[in-house]
This record gives sequence, structure tokens and C-alpha cells, in this order.
Amino acid sequence: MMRQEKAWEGLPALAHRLPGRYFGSGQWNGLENAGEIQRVILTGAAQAHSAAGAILPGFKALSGLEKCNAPDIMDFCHFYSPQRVRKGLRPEQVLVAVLSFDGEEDRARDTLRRGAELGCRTLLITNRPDSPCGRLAQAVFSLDLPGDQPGTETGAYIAGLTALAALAAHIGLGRGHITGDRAEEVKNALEGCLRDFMDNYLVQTDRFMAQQAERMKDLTKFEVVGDWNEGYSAQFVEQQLICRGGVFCDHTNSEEFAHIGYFIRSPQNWGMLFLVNAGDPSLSRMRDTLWGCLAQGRPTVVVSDAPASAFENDKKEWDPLRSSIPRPVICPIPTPPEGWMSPFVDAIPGALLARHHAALNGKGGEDRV
Amino acid sequence: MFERLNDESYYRRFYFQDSFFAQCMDVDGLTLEQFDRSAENARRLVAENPIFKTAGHVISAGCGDSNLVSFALKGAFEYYLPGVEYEAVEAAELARHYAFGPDGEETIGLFVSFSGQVLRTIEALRQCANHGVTTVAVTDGANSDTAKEADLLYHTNTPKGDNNAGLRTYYSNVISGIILAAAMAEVRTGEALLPRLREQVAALHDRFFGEIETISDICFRTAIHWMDRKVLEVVADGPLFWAGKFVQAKVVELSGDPCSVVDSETYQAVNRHMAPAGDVGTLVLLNSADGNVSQMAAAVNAMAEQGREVLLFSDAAPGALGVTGEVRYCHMALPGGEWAFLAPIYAYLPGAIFAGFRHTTIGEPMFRGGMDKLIFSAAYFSPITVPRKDGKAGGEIAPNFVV
Repeated sequence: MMRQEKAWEGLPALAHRLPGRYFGSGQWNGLENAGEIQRVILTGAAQAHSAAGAILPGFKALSGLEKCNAPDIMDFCHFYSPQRVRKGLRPEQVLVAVLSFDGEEDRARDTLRRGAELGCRTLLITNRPDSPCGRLAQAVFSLDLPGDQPGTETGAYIAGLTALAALAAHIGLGRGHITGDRAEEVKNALEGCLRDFMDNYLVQTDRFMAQQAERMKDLTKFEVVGDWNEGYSAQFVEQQLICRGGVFCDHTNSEEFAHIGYFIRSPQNWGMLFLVNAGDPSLSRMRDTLWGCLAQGRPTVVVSDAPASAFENDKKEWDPLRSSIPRPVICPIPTPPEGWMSPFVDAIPGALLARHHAALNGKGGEDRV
Repeated sequence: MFERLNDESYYRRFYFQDSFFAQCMDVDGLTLEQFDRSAENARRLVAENPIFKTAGHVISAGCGDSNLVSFALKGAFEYYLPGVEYEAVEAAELARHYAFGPDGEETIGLFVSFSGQVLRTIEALRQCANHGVTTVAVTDGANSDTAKEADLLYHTNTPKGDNNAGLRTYYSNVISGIILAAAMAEVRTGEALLPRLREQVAALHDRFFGEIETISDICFRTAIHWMDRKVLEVVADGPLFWAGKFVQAKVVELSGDPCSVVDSETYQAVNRHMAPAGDVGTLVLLNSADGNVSQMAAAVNAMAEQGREVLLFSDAAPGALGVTGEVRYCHMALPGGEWAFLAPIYAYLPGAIFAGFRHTTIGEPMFRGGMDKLIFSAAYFSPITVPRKDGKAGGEIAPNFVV
């Protein structure tokens, strides 16, 4: 039981304090003339890349910059041509922002070097400003997290998301795309969203995922399904499941699952996690994929802010077998104040499942990602 | 799974070659015939429609393998049309999430679907049409719904053949997309670019298919040796990552094995923790001309050290790449230099051949013996939610679907 409690005990104290610390922080002043930035490339390794991808829609919305990408770090280091980096802009209008918790990864260093070689501005977001990466970057933002708390990998993920949102707001303010009031509104909304989850959902989510881990204890293969920015939350959960328990795990979206993942052998031996945002335009597509998945007998958990009724079968008229499809198991999470904020909480249940599943199988004592 | 013979050398490749293997071999003869058919149609299309000369933005979308086609074309569009913004977007995401800019009138949308009947692709097409984008159906289905709804048709006119599991169709769509990029560049620059492209494709074809027997044999021997493996993984970076995604799709469709695809950095940080290492067979794709060689070599060496078995597909021997661990090696011809964007036309093929042997060596029928549309048909069945530009209803469920 002690091990299970440690799965989340560092989070509540940490999460809701982050927006207040990062939004409007004086540390951003190291990024001079932020209003002149026209393009941002966000990247990092492993969970840092998941955070970069998950925040991208929010980043664009807050900064007002459409020319933003979140490539995987190998892609950026070796396959992004100078023209693809600059996209017709002057190099100094392009910011290469690297998220690296410990500032040690070789690839993060390569990214900062490459950005500088191309004449771009470089920024490191890290918990170790004095790290090798910190010495390379033109500007450094310190996450300033306690490094020894249990659950720091999920905490670091949320901190990364928050810092990137704060960066977007800083650029958006500099460009005149958003007002100070709007930045304050976003900060408060994120704070409220995180506090709501930590105060009202975390304990029950942890218990729920402990039960699901019991149900899935003997499974060694998992798949996580998420669309758009939830796809990167799915990637984060995948990383947690692999690193904690050494299981096989992949992530996909609702359409690609239907074209490829559906054909897997022995589907009843696959643990499935769906991340579904009720306000998302692809909700109907997700439901169709979910029902197909349940019809294959896959042990499935849906993490969603939608009510259970949203996943009731209402398509019997064009698929008679659906009347016999089992109902999905729902893990409720709060509705995000704005759609792009969903990754701040929807990755947490899966991370808890990863911890419990690993613990039940005698693994997962160390933080690997 | 079949009962194993005592000695792997007893197995004869001939008995494990099925229709999918034949389809892989058919890419040999298909290569230039498809090139010429697509080139003819692409030239006519771009000559007759001024948008191909002026568009500053191209969005390409598809589902499943056709989605991977869009990503495989990035290099070609960047090479031929450096001033054009090219985006590969999954059809479902384009239909439901994409934030359209104000440049719709200057944008071409390519909708890749061999059959032309995939609902999410049609949905994405409608969404683009509603934002003023000129829509182009890239399809063999000249009378398909995608062709009918699109503003323009780029008919791939693929020679008839067995397309089960979509191997020939993938080649057909990739080469057609590359040819379209070159044809667009021709009308913009006035230079005859397609003849030189054809020469390069022909030269790569000769080098690649000159070794096809050896490739097939190595893939077969590996499939036999890995009959007891429980998990497969593909590790590849950059453009080859998308070839790896295609290999993954073939593994899942043909043998139904768990199969993931990751880049070398993610392997080192995350997927190396999959255990036990001895259960995993890893396919690695590496072009010696790319900048990632030392990182991939480090990843491969880490795999070997962990006890993972590796089949390395590359144009250079392991020693020349810095791979010191014990691996199986399969040479495959790859382009370098300015023609590196041609890698996607064949780089997936050795892995696909392996996937074919995987399903025959473990005795697993492709598509688990059939696709039960009554149980799961979301790809063909999940209704279109985007209205047509003209406001008319229709096409909400695939017309050829019968409950």
C-alpha cells in the first residue's frame, strides 16, 4: 500500500503552484525581444517530446504563431533542413526551445548546438540550469522543482507543459497577440484545473487505477488511443507503461487503430486505454473505435470528462452486434476550462495505471524517464 | 504455430512464399510501368490547372498506409518545391482538428486513397473544400467517391494485380506523389525534371532488385530463427521512420504480432526497457548517408548488449556503420545525396518481405483470416460528420457496405 500511495503523493503539492510560478516569471526576460519571434520549434527526448506535442495547439493559440512544430529530437537534429527550420524567416525570428529535465541528454545538446549553428535563438527549459545544456543555451528557464519527490516524472511532465504554456503566453504578450488579462485568465484557469484534479479526483483515480491494474495484472501488451493533443498524452502514458513495467506498449489514434491496430492477434490479451476529450470534434469517431475495440473483447479503460452516457451504444440500427458489446469502464476526469488544457490532467490516470501495474508485477521502483 | 523442425536449414523458402511475397516481387516490374503511367497523368494535370503553378501550400492526407504515403513524400516536395509549404496531416486530424489558415485559395489538398472509398479521407476532403482548398483525389479509383467529390483527379492508373494488404498500392501512391512534386516543379521552372527523375528511379531499381534474392533469403532465415519471438520492433529515424511505420502495419495485418516503431533516441530512453529482451526481434533501418549513423549504431550496440536480436537493413555493412554488436545484416540499396528523397520507394520492402515470411512461418492467416465488418468496421463505417460544400447530404456510410 505504501508503494501505491507513493505513486501520486508528490503531485498535489506540486501541480497547482506551477502556473503561478511560471506565468509572468522574470526568468522569461532572458528571452529578449520575444515579440519578434515568428516561429518556435519545440522538442525534447522521451517524455519531453510528449509534452512538446501535447502543448502544441495551446502554444499556437496563446502565442498566435501558426508556424510552430514539435518534431522528435532525432528528426530535428539530423533531418530538418535549414529551409525547413527557417520557413522563409530570418534565423533570429526562429526560437528552438528544448525541454530537458536534467539538461544532460546528448541529443538535447545537439539540438541546442544545431539551433545556434543555424543562427536561431535557443532556449532551454530545465530543472538544472547549471547543466551542460544550460551552458549551451542562449536563455534558460529553471523549473525549480524538488528533484527527490516521488512521482517527479509525472510532476516534471506537468511542469514542462506549464512552462511551455507560460512561454507561449510570454511570446503572445510580446507580440500583442494576447493581453495581460488574457494571460492572467489562462494562468488562473490552469491553476484551477490542476487544483480541481488534485483535490477532487486524484485519490479516487488512484484507487480506480489500482483496481484496473489488478484486472490487467497478467497482461503484457497495451495500447493507448488518443486523438490530436491527446495523442501525445497517449505517448506519455505509453512511455510510463514501458519504463515502469517493461511491458509492450504502443500508442495510436482512433482512425489508425481502425486501419491497423484492429488486426492484432489475440485482442482479448491487450490492455487498452482511451483518452477522450468530451469537447473534442473527434468524439464520435472515438466512440465508434471504442465500441469496435470492446466488441473484440479487449480489456478497456476510457479516461474522459464525458459522462458515461456519452459512451452508450446508440448505433444498433446499423450494427446489430453492438447490442451485445460490453459497456466501457470509465475513469472520470474534470472538463478542462479550455480544450487545449486537457493534457494537463488526462495523462495522469494512465501514469498511475503504469505504476500500479508495475508494482503488482514486482517492478517499477525506479524513475526511468 | 507449426511444430519446429530440429534444424533451421531444413526449412525451404519456397513453401513459405505466398501471394503477399508475390506482390512484393511484383514491385520489380511495376516500378517503371507505374512511373510512366503516373508521369503521363501528372503532366497533363499540372498543365491544365494553373493552381499547380501558383500554390504556396500543399496538404497531403490519407488513412492507414495512405497516411504514411503523405509522410513519405516530405523529402520529394522539399527537394522539388522548396518554396512551398508541404504538410502531411492524418485525414482524421485534418477533418476534425486542423486549424485552417487564410490561404485556402493558394492551397492544394492531396487526398491519397487507392480505392477512393475511405470515409475519413472523404471527410478531410470536404473539410478542405469548405475552406477554399483545391482538392485533388490521388487514387486508382477514377469513379470512386473521393474522385467524384474532389475538384481534380490524379489518376494513378495502376496496372491490375493482387493488392491484398496494400503493398503494390503503397509503391504506386509513393511514386505517384514524387512524380507530382516533380511535375509541379517542371511547370514552375520550365525544366524537364521528370526524365532525370526516371533515370534515378531506374538506377535505384536496378541496384535494389539486383539483390532481391539475397534480401528475400535473409528475411526468410530471420523469420525462421525468430519463430518464437513474442514482440517485434522497428527502429528508424527521419524518413526511414515512415518506412518503419509501413513495415509495422504489414506485421500487424499479416501476422498480428505486437509491433512498435520508434526512433533511435526513444529506443535508448524508453523502449529498451521492454522485457525480456530476448522476446523481441528488432528490425533496424539505416541509411549510411544520413546524419544519424553514430546514434543508431549506439542504439544497435545497446540492443545487442541487452540480448535483443537485430536484423539490420542498410546500404553499408555493420562494421562500416560503427555497429560492433552481433547482428543479422541485410544489404539494401538506398539513395544518397540529392536523391535521398527516393529512399521511401523501396526502403519498406525488405521489412515487408520479412513481415510476409513472419505470417507464413508462424502459420497465422493474414488479417486473422478475414475482416469481420460486423464486429469492427470503423474505418469504413463510422459516419462522415462534415457536410459537403454544396450543403447536400450523402456519403455518411460507405456505399458499398452491406450489413
